[in-house]
Amino acid sequence: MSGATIVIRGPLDFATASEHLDALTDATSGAQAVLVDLSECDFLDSSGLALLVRSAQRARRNGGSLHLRAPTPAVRRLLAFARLEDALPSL
Amino acid sequence: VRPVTDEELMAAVSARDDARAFGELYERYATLAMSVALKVVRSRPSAEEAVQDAFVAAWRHRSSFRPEAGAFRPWLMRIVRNRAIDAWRRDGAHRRSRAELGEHAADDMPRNGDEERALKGAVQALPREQYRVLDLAYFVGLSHTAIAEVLDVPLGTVKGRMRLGLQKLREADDAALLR
Repeated sequence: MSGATIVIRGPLDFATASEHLDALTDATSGAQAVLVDLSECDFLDSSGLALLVRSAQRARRNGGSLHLRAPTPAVRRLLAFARLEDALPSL
Repeated sequence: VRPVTDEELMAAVSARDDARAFGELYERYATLAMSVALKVVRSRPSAEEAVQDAFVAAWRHRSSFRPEAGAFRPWLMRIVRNRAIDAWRRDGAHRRSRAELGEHAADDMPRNGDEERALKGAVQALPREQYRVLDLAYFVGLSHTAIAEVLDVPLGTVKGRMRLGLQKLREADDAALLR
């Protein structure tokens, strides 16, 4: 399976989600392993979470996968409290 | 015969305390109001209470309705939304399940209700710190304690930002009502 890595820098929120929409849509439209690098992402809001969940669902529908790489402690806590660790697994 | 418009009914309510006209408006909008309230509180009993409160408030403030400032329907729906926010606050931190968030996330944004989009837009217009707290509480469903941990700030700070943010939302809607 081929792969793609998308790096998110700064917050992924309502103001920035659209900047990553095309890249995530393209990457998850085929059967490939997508890695979303969150090592430099300091905050996710509901729009950012929704974008990632939607992208992961699309990847799985198309026979691929989406994993998060190196989420910061704050983002890791958010995923845990939102109970999204299974929907958005980290490598 | 031309049907009586909402604004004509409301004019009768304002001018003559016409309860029958108000009853007609209730018949027209109770279902829509319920739908709007449910999008905020996601609990039928709380939504029913919010709708009831909203119609009581609309009756009490009937003299403040200005047809020249806008149509009846958005005026009423702003009241419903405010009462639903109050109900949501009374309910405490509202927790959406992972499944609900996933379902919500799977929807294309344009398919969400106008009211929900409007509420989200109003929250996004708040100062960043207040926005983040309200977004995590309302749209992600985190408790105050969880938000404090995610943002790495004291619980009191979360509560303060929440209070200020909600106050600004209310003031914005009150200003819109008075225009």
